[in-house]
Amino acid sequence: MSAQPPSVIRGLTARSILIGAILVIVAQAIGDMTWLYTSKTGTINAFWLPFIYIVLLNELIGRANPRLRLTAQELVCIFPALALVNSIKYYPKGALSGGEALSGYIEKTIVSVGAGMNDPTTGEYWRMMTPPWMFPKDPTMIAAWQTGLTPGQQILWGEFLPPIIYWSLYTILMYYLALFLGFGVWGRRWVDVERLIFPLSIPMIYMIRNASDIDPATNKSRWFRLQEPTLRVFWVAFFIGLIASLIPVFGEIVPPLAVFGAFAWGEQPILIFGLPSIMPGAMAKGVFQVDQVALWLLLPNNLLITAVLAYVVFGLLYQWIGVISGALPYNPGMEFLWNWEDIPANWFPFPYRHVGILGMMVGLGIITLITLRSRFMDLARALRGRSEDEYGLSTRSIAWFGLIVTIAILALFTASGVPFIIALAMVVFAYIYWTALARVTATMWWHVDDFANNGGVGTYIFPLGVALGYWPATVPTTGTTNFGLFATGILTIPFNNTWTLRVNGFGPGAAVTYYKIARETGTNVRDALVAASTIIAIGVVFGYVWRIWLLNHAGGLANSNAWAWTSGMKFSNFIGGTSYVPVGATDWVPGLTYGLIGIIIVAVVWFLRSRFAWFFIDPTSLTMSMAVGLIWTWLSGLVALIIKVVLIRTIGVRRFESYVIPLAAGISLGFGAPILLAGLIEFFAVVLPRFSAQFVP
Amino acid sequence: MSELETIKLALGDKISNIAWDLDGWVILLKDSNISNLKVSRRLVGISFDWEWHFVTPLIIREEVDEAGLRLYREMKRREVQIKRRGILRYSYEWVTGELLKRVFPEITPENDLLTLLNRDENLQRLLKRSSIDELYINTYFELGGATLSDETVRKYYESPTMVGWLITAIKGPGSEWRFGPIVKRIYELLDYLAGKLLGFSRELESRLAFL
Repeated sequence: MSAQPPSVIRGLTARSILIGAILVIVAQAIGDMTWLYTSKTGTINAFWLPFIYIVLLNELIGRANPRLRLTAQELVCIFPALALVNSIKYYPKGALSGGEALSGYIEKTIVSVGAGMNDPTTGEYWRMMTPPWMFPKDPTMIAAWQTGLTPGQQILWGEFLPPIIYWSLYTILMYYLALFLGFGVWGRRWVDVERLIFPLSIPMIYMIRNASDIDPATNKSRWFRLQEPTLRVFWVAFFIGLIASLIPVFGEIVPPLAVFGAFAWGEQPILIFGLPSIMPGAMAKGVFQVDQVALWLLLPNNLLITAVLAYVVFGLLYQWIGVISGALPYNPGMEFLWNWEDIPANWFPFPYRHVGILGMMVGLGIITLITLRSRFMDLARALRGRSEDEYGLSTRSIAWFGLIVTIAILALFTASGVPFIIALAMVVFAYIYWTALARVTATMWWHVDDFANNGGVGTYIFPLGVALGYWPATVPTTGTTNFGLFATGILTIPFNNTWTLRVNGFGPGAAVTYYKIARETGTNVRDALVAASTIIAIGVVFGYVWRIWLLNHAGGLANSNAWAWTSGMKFSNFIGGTSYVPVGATDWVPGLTYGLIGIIIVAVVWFLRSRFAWFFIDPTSLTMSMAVGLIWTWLSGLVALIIKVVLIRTIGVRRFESYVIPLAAGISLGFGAPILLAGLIEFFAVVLPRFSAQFVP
Repeated sequence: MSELETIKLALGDKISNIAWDLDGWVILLKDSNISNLKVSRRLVGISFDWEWHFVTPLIIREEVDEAGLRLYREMKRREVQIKRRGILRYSYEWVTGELLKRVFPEITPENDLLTLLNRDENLQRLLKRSSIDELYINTYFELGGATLSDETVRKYYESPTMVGWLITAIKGPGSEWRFGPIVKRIYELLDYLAGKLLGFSRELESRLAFL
């Protein structure tokens, strides 16, 4: 990792383009089928091929014929095909999360609208309001969406063509905005100036660099030279990771034991059963993730301590004292709930999760954008002709790309019926919130909560429309007939962040992580951008066509895992009623107030951290912890901190420094490697039979 | 409060002046065995953890004649560093310096300084108290460029311009909270060590004069 590549190398070749294009189609075809018909909806739910197997296959092919061996840069250029289909969880370990990848976008767009039109309660409303470019108006196609085609019935592709074009455009533009921000705005500064760690990128960079280090004398990769101490550490760590993968195997795969609610290959909730009897109300739940612990060994102590301290202050002390003092109500079992459930993080008097989401994330985004102001100036100058070459990418090209994408999003939203000022506000909030998302991901991990359906729309976007007279302050529970509000409600999710965006394989955090991978592997940045853009365009269009074919030909919403419920999520967000935060709020004032408090908190912490060395509380870590309701940060942070302190004290700083990257990369990749086996078993034992049983030619 | 303010508070009236350097501060000291102490910090690996470097030169002779050259080369044979053991509570042992073994494999190390330091219980107490991570005693040299290379060390060995020691103490990540006490304890350690080295060097010098 330490040796810097000498210069950028082209990765976009005829064969890498071809492989990338074929791979994204194959991966989405198998992955989306797996997503719809798997019995392991939280674990084996996309294309189950970790990238390490592609790298190993490349080594085998290269040994047989060196000319066929893909270079490191070519591997980087085909990587987007699998990242797009499998989500950001694919980056560190090859894990899958279809609902947080391309399939998740499909769910929250065309599937959601089609599901609404079939809803027994609100279906009539949806059928009245939905324009033909969002879903076919033909009643037979609406019905087939729910239960699949009847024998002899055929898909009316002409009806589906406008929705395919419309939703493909919407989805591609979202991806392209993330690419523009990642490659054009955030990446250069965060990699070169701020030197953020990008923990999620480490295994991929380590693997590709070492696997591509070929000994010309033997035509073998030096990755397997066990006599080199750091590589030996990597392979030992790889096997430790393999052993640790027994946690998801037993927790998620083996049916009688999969009772602990784990998912996504190793996101293992740990419940502290004795705690409520000592501290009633205190949070007694944390998520333990082996790869997160391994990669968090790379984080500075103060980030880890901040995550743990946030839990102690808010999760333990605040909730416990709140309950025993009567300031917070006590609900039996509240100690063991998730962040999106009914927990004190979402309650008055201090809903710290909403403070985090509506305030600290927004504040973090604004502050980060302020630090990036010179970058915007550079891009503006490039638009006027003063372009620079940045590792193969011209600033003029990326500036035009960003400008065109932003204008296209505004145009699409406005043409869809969203009032222009509202469309502008949605784009502004996307810039702000996506920036915070990406910063958190580049600094720590992907766990951050959603803006759009956690008060973001009700606090910032909906009231703006009321103030401007675009829609009334009260929305009928039978559904609004104001098309501007309907279009806004449909388009703001997932655009203004739900989990499908933040954890996406090319969402904001992932896009800038991919930039980091390209940089650290010496890949021509323009090639990486073109490869990702091309694969995204192919994958998205194919993904919509394939999903329409699958649902129609094999059971429809009713007989698959498709997320029909997402129509309810859209409906409750200001199409068919109002939804304010925190729990019990009846208008947007509390949300705005807590948002303001959060912005002030993060600004003060940022100032103190940048001004005083002794002030160890990190604003990004604190924001992430608060905004995700603590559950996803504190336990892995605590374990990583303990292991790190013990390691440094045992082997010393110097050896820790040498071995921590192979150690972390090895554990992560080893941990994810058995996904292939689990995926193969699930696909052939469950997915294919279930699909075949429902298939209507 | 910045680190510099913490250093000022920790060292108090020992400080006579402070100067900026490329990557830290040079603290000029008074009423002490050491005349100046450079304090700087460095990123550990790729993370944002900092480790703190405390470097102090201990000049024995400012000009190098034949006797000085001989003294310098004898001192070189006595370069040492600490070896740390333990997890929660450290213990320390002085061993022959890695730099000496790596850059000058042809030189036979001499163990008298090493033995002297290992037998010093007060020094062991100060080491434990400071919980230092790394500590090196090398002969004095000057950097030719921005970074230290084996070639620079060897060149200086061949024609030194000053005779003395260079003591480098390194404190790893996690010292930010207790930075003040740590600075004070490291200073006390270095001050004591400098006193020992000055005494040892004088004694070595007189031994060489009789040979």
